[in-house]
Amino acid sequence: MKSMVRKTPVILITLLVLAVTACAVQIESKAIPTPNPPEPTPSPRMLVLPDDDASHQSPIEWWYYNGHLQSDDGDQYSFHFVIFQTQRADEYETFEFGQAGITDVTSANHHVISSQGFAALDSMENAKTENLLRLNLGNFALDIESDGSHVFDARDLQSGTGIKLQTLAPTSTMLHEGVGWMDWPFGWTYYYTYPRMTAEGTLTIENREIEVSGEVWFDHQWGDFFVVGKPAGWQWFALHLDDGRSLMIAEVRGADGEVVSTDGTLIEPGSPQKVFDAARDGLQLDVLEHWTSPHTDGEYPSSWRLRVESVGIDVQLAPTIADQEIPSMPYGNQAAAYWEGRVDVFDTATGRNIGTAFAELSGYVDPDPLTWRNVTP
Amino acid sequence: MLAKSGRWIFRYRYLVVATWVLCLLAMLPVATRVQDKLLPGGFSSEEYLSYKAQKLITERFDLSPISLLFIIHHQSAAPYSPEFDHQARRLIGQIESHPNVASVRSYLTEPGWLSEDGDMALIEAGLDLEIEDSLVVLDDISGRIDQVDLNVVMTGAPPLYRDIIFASGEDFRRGELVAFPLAVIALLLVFGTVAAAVMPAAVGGVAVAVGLGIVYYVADFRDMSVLSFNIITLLGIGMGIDYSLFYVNRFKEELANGLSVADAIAKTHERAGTAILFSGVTSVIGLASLLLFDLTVLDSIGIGAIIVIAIALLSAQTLMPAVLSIVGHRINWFPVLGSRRWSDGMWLRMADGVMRHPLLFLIPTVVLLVALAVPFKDIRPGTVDATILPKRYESRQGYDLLLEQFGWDISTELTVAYTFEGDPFSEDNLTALYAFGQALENIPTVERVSSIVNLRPTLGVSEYRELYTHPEAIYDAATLRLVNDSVRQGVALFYVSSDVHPFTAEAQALVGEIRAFGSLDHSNVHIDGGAAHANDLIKSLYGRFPIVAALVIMLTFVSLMILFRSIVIPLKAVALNVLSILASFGALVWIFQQGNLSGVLNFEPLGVIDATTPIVLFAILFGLSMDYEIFLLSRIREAYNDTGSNRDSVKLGLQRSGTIITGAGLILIVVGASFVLAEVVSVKMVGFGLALAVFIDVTIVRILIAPALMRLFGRWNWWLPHWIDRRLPRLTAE
Repeated sequence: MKSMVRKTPVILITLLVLAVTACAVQIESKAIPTPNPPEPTPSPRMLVLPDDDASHQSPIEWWYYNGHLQSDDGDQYSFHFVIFQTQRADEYETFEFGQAGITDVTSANHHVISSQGFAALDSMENAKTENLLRLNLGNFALDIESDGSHVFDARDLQSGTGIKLQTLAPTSTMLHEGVGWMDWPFGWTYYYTYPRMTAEGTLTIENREIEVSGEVWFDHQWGDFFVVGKPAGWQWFALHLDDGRSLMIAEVRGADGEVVSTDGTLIEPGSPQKVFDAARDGLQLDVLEHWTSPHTDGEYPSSWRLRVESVGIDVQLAPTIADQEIPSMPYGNQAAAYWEGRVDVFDTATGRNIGTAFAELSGYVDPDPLTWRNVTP
Repeated sequence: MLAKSGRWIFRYRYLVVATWVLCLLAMLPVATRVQDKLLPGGFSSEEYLSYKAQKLITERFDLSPISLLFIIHHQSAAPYSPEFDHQARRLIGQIESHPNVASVRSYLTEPGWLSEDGDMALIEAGLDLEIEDSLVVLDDISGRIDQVDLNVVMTGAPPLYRDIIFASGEDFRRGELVAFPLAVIALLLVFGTVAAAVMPAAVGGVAVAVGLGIVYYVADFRDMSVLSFNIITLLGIGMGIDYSLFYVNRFKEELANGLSVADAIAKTHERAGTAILFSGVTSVIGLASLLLFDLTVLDSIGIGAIIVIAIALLSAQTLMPAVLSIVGHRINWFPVLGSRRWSDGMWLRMADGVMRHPLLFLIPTVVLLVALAVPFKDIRPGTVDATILPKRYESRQGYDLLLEQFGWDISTELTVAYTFEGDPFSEDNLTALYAFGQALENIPTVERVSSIVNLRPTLGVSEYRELYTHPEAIYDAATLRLVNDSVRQGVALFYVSSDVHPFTAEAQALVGEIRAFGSLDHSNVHIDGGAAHANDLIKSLYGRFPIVAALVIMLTFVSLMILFRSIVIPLKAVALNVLSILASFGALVWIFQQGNLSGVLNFEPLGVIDATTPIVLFAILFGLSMDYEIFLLSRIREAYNDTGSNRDSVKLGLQRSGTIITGAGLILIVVGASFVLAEVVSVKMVGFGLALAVFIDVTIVRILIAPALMRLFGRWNWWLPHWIDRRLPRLTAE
């Protein structure tokens, strides 16, 4: 019996060692393979309008309007209205938000309307309607009818501000870069413009409704690209010249803040569009003055000289009101604040006002720093 | 020696009873509060790689270890309408006002936190508490949200845990209400007198109360899972009644044989006492195996059950003889049924039949058990999720809404932490992260990878380097969120979605494949998520299970060899035990995993068997089945010693123990079967498994197969090589 008693612990210990050994997690090791090269940028297709006014399955898309309006009393107003849509490339689910600004030229006031939050809409469901596009974000809505007319409205009941306009179908189209497609930092984008659409409707300022009419500029852009803020960004201009010409100018800065492209497209009544190459056409944009925002401390350009030698354009641009800054969306990147407003166009040689324009200045506000970056693990 | 202690107990019977009464009085107040000391969870181990990954991620990203989810809906307004948002902001304010709410996120800040139809929205509240501390604040938090004009459904890990604990407790209480009267009837059937029937229940109850009191104090020193409580109680009562049953039965027999009370106590103590002692030892061996799995829930069941069984054993060896010494011949008071006479004759006839045609009984019964066991080969062990809860619980409704309306199937998602040195946006690190992200995307079962380097298929390393020149300046909300929430100095997260169920072999292969990408010491790839946890749990449990089972079988074999002085008997005993357990496991897979009879038994098939259930059932059933084997064989051995005839000894042994084994089994079958009414599928599964295994054991195995084999082995039954015989200690049973 004694020997059994002596042996039993030995057997037990052996079995326990076996048990523990069996439990050790065995993992094979495998080297991480060298990644394949990224997929090539897809080739662009011909745009079909107005069908392409509808929503597309793309990571980012926006429908943008600006315009210069006049009331029956002769008061001048300008506005911009935009709905952004983002979606994951592999899902139908989309998220939209809208922003709008109204510039009251007479009283020199600027009013901002923002959508209340992210709205998730089923873009496929939108496509099923008879309209080309129907987006409803609560206080922002946009319909593009199949006849090419556009109806959009935005309202902020709290401040008593609103905009509701209906356009006729467009009469001219700009296909930027010739085909309506361009390389963009970190990707590509389709981009076309209806530069002059006749519009009428109602503005609401401090709960006062004002009947207005005028001309509206429409931009539609969608693709697969990233928008990056300061020092990256852009200066963009949409000019309505009194002689009937419409001009788009865009200067884009890359991640290091250096200008990576300067583009332009011109439409003259009765002529085909001209697409500018900065070097070939003598396209040059010089900043003459700056303005510092009291809201974000962003230092924006606020006066420019724009030259396109090949078509004899030499103008100076100056904001009608200095403060037309649009704050970033609630909860969004604070750096996404931008300046979007009415600009007056003057002939450089004579100083005469020869039109109105809209400017969009992005990438001038410092982003919030990444707080974790200086934390040592 | 046991006869002597029996006489000692007879002499000091009042002192022994008084000592137990004092123990009971001391322990009763804490025994009723033992649940307060037990903790929820216990299904993970600090040694699991997934646990380490979760710890790394929560610590480095300063995440709340647990969170509550609120699904909100308004009768007439949709999310982002002024009325809905106003109510939602009020609700968020109320939730934020709770001191343990560390952070709140909602659909107002998170794109995509809306239901597919756009009618419902989500709010998430991170708590600064561990899961075990969070349950107590749930009522306080939900009390604050009564004043908003929204329909609110609260779910998340804490409410799910709370409801599972509550529902399991309800199930056990309901089961006990059904089981208790039926068990009393079974005891009356066995003993035929009220006095004898009450005795085991009373002594078993005392053992459980004292045992739970000890568990209360043990919980001060080590984590004990609340999920073990019901099983501990069930086992304590079951084993307490079992041991007392055998003791009382033998005592009545000895009194009937004409012995005085003192002599009957001494003889009962010598014979039945030894058998009970060995039964207890085999039960403890089986349950001690649970301590080898390094899992709190199994440790808790193991420790708790060993404590209550040890106390049940002690009470059967001391309190029971003391009480019987006082009761004496009054044990036969209040006769209600004459069950013993007819049942004794029945067992004799059955034994006679088996003895005459052993193969006729053996072959079909073994074939039946093997057929029952066959589905066990397809077992898919997994970890249970919220679907074990009935749908009437709010937390389950919330879980279903998340799955159906928000597409949140958290069980198929893995969070992979990749560690490195320094800044994630440095050239070297971005290159390594990009390669790892691409490798993850190239795994065939991976549907989608979300990380700072898996944004677009058209972006390569150079594009990512340019994009992250100033990562804080990215406007895109989803990308900026990744930059803020999924990278830190030295670590980046990859969210991996797959199309495989976390408990399938494909999911286990996926986890293995991702882990294989780690460097040789596996320090730079850490996976958290359902499949990783299931992988760790299953590997850990089932990597050890064969060795642990072999250890239990071997120790049981040695114990039986000492008790019965035979090699064939212990071999046969453990083989039959394994067969009956495999048969019940096969039935569990066939029913609960594959969903057969789900309509009859009223449950939603899980598609898996809770990984811990077979192990717990093995630990319980191996000891329990061995109880019956020991009681049967001890009577056979005793008859063999008296008659020297194998055939007669089997007949006599079966005749003398048949009723008591069936009676004891019947009580456990009744108790187990009553839990088939349970709403929580896990409870239903344990109850059904217990009832079925005991049923197979006390009917097919003990009454038919075991006697048939005894008859076939003949004199080899009691063969023991001389060299072993000389080395084994000598003991007597029954």
